[in-house]
Amino acid sequence: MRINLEKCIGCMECISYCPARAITARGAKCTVDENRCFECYVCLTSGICPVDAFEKISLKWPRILRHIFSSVAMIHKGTGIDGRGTAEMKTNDVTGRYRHGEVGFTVDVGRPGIGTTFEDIKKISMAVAKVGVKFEKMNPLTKLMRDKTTGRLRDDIKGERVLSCVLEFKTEDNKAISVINALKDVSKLVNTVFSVGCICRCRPDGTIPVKNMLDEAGIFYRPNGKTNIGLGRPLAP
Amino acid sequence: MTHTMHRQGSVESLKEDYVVLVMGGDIPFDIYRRLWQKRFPRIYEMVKKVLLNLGILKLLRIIKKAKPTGSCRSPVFNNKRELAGYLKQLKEKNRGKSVVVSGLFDEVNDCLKELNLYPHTVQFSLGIFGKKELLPEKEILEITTMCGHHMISAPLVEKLTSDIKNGNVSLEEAIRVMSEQCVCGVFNKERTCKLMAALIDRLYSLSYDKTRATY
Repeated sequence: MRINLEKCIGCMECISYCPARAITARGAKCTVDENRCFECYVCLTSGICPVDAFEKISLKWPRILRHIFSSVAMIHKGTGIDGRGTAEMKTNDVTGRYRHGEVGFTVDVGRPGIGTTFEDIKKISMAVAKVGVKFEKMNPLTKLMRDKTTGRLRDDIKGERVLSCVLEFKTEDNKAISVINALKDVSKLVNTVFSVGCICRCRPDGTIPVKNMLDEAGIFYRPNGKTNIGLGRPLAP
Repeated sequence: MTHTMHRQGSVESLKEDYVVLVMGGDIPFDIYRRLWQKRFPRIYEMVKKVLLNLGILKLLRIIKKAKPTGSCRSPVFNNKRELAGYLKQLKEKNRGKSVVVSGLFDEVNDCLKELNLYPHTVQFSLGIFGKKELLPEKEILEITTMCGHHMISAPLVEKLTSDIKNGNVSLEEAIRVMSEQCVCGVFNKERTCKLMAALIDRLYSLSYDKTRATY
C-alpha cells in the first residue's frame, strides 16, 4: 500500500487504523513504511481517508503473500476458503480430519495482532516437526514448505511480514505434551507471539481424552474455546 | 480459521459472548473432484476435457471467485438462553452441516445437555506464547481479540477511548467504527460496550450514563 502524497491532506486519521503500525506522519503528510506493511488493506477498506489517497502497489511474488495471509477477504487457491487456515476441527464431524487417538494443533503465529515473518514461522514449524507431526496438506502454509517432514519453508519468502498465519498439524496423542513443550521452547526464540489451539475428538459420552493429559502435565488452557456439536453428516465413516 | 478461538476476558465477561459457526464440509466439490481424479484418472480427464470444451469449468471458476466476501458471517449471542434456542433450531432443521460454538465450555455443555447433544470435537486455547511484552494491555486485548483476524488495531481502540473522553465521538459511534472493521461479523458489540465503558472509567474516571447514553 502506498499513500499518494499529492492527495494526502495530512489529517492523520488513518494512522490508528493500521494493524501493522506502518503508517506514520512525515511532516504534514502520512507515509506507509512498505517494509512493515502487511498489505491487509484495512486502511483502504475502512474508507477512513477523506481524499482516497491510498493506492495499491503491484504485489509480485513473494510480496503477494503478505496480502494473501493478511486480508480476510482473500480466498486461498489451495483451500478454496477465506481465512488463514482450513476449516480444521470445525468440520471434523463431516471430514473426520482428527480421529480418536490423535491430537490436532493450530498455531496462530503473529496472533493476537502483532504480526510475524516467515522466518519466525519456520522456527516454529521446524521445532514441532522434530517431535514428529503431520502437517495439514490443505493448509496454505504447508503448501509453502520445502520439506514437510522437517517443516522447512521456502527460502525466498523468509523476509515477508504477515498479520498472522496458521500452522496446522496433528500427532498421536502420546506426543501431544512433547509438542507443547517444543512450542514452549521455541517461544523463547521468536520475535513475535503465537496463540496455540489443541484439538481433540471426544469420546461418544462427550469426555475429552486430551483434557486429562493437559491436567496431568499441568498445562494451562483457557475456560473458553470451540466445540463442534456433531450435527454434521460424515463424508467418510 | 481460528478467528473466534482466542477471545480474551474473565469468565464473567465471557458468559456474555458466544459465536456460532455453521459450515458445510471442506468444499465437498473439491473433495469429490480429488477422489475422482485419484480413483478414476482416465474418466476424470475425459470429463474435464468435455467440460472445458463446453466452457462449464470456466463458469464454475468465475462463480467461485465471485463468492461474496464476509461469507463466514456468524451469529453472536450475549447469553446462553438465546444460544440454546438457536442450537435447538439448528438441531431440528437437521441440515447435516457442521455447527461449532465458540464460548465457555461449561456454559456450552449445559446447552448441549438440554438438547441431548454431546460434543464431537473440541479445541482448547492454550493461551499466548512468545514475546508477550509486545502485546497491548489486557483490557484492549479483550476488545481486539473479538475480531480474531485483528482487523481492529490496538491503536484504534486507544484513539477511540481518547476521542470519547474528549467528546469527539459517542460510545455507540466508537463501537460502530470498530465493528465495521470486522468483516466476519463475530465482533460482539454489546460486550464491547461494557468493556469500553470499564476501560474509559479506569483510564479517565468517567462513568457512562446508560439512560442518557452519554458520559
